[in-house]
Amino acid sequence: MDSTLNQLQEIVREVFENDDITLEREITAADVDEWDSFNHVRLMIAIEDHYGISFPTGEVADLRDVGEMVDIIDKYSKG
Amino acid sequence: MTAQFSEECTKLLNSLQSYESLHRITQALLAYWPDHQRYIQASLLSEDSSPLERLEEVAQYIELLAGENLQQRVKDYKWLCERFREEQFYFFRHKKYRLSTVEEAIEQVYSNHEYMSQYMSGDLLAQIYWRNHALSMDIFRERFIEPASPGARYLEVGPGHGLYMAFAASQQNFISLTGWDLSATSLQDTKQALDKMVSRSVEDILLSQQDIVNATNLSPQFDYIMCSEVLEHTENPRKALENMHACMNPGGKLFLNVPVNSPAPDHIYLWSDPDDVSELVSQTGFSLLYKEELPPTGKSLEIAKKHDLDILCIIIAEKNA
Repeated sequence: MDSTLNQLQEIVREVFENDDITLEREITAADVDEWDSFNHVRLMIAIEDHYGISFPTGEVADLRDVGEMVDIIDKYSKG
Repeated sequence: MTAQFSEECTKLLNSLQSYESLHRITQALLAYWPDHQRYIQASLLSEDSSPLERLEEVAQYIELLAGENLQQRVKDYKWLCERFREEQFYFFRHKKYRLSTVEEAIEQVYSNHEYMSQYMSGDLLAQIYWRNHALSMDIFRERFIEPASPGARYLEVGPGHGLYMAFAASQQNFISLTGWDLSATSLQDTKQALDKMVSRSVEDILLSQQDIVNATNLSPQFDYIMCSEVLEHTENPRKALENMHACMNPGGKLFLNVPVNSPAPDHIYLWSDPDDVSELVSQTGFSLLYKEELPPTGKSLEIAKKHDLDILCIIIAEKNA
């Protein structure tokens, strides 16, 4: 598994308090029961804290799928 | 062109078939924002949702207000949700609201008429689709205005969209209804809304400009005072409550709806704990009769408190002798 995807999976499992969640790039919020608008915000903040980065809110408020999330993490964490 | 709905959206709409206005508004909303289906399902059709009969009555008022512009209301509602989510990002990052003074709120929000128009428009549909807002309306109707004594005098501080006042006006037990607001523009909007919703003579309803925080020379005149989602817009909620106490008759009743941990474009006073609200109410000369803490759609109260999600603190209190 891609390193970023793997790390994201760990963060998602922790934030959503569900160790059974398995992520793939194609997964969307609709596929995960816990992934509502509140938890999306909490998740993005947790990712920011984990990587020590800050996302422009407009770029992360509406991500289409996990793949987009991985890409934006890579964009801002690796410079 | 008829919207094509997913199976889940179709199922949701079928559940609302008996509630014509609610069905129409939900259909328009899902046609524009199909991804909102799961949220609407949780809001309207959970065990602890507001009864659909009650929501239908709110929806009927909203259809009267929307008129031919339901589509615009739907767009404004989605816009509102997006603005609230931006504020949530700020709140979770910084553990505080973005604004902290009335001056900032005027400069950044209230003086922007287009923004305020969208905000107030979108806020209407939130009264149906945000579960805790819908439940607040139910408590107001069932526990505050429906059992009100005949011949009582009613004051609403910050009547805004007019929905609460419309329900109060439909009760025959109030001999007079008054609305106070800091903003003349907001009062104009309230009047226009009440003209559409209320069949009772609007001459019975007095709307006047009054700043509940800075008002002076107040004397007891009201038996029921209602203040929903106002205190978080003030820099001094204690003073606001003291003034409400001052203009309340002995034995009068107060209804409060105070959002806790609730980031919004114009919220300035951060309540972090519902107990802080009830404590202040007690300190300002009221005895609590009823308190309810309403978590957001899809969340338990326990989870909302664990993660500092927004809770509406509903209080009914009586003026101490």
